[in-house]
Amino acid sequence: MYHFFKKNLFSSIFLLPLVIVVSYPSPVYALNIAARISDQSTEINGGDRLYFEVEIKYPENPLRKDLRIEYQILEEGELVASEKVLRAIETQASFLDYIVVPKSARGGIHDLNVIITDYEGLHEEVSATFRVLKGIDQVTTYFFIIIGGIVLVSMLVIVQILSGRHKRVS
Amino acid sequence: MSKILIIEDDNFLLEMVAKAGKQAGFDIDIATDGEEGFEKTKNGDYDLILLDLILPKMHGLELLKKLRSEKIKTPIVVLSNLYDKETIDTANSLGIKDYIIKAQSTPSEIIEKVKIILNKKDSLN
Repeated sequence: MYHFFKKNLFSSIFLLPLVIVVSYPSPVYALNIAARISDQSTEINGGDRLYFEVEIKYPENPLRKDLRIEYQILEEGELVASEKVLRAIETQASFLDYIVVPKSARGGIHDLNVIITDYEGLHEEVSATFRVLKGIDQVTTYFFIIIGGIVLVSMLVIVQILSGRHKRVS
Repeated sequence: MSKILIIEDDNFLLEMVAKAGKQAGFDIDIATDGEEGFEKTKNGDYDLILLDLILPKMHGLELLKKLRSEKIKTPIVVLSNLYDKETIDTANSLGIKDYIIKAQSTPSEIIEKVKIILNKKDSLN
């Protein structure tokens, strides 16, 4: 090594600062995020919008910064919906946003994940929970009610016809 | 029907203002970052632009400067939560029609201001 530097003294003088500059990490500023699900959305039906507030604090950030934000809905740890947005912030931002809960979502507790990344090494994640009240939408519910009604009426008609025949025979 | 371009990266606010604008009878177009906003402004024929300042890809003030350097004279209303004197003065020096603080205005109030500006413009023409 010593001989290498001795032999290549000229290039070493110029290369060493370059290596130091290249390997010096770009400054990573502390970013804090919080996600709050609005009171109206803590219990929600499949197919509805889940409204939430995202708060980002980036006090050391000196300039405008573009952040890639991904919203995910997890059902028993499995991703069932996601949405990506691009937002610019300076030192802080607080905004409302929403993601549509899939109609096929099963009833029960679900997770909302908010993941923030940039074009460098930033990666922050926060989650909040909410409850899906029912997994099937209203149209499906009405469909089953109507089908049930038709079946009931049909049975009554059949019983009526059969009892009429029975009376005539006797 | 007046055509308005809203350049805003807050999707929720964008949707609310666009809805209020459509209800007021405006033809609404949207852009969610500075570059898209610049391209749409260059290629579109808008009566007014509602412009956020902290935008991805290109800052709103930079976009304003580029539009003015390209001699695009479309009336611009800034829609921002920045309220420091330097930013407001810079925006005013670039010939904006109004500077609205987002946190202090509802979507319908924003559209009301747009109506007033467009009415003034029509009466001058």
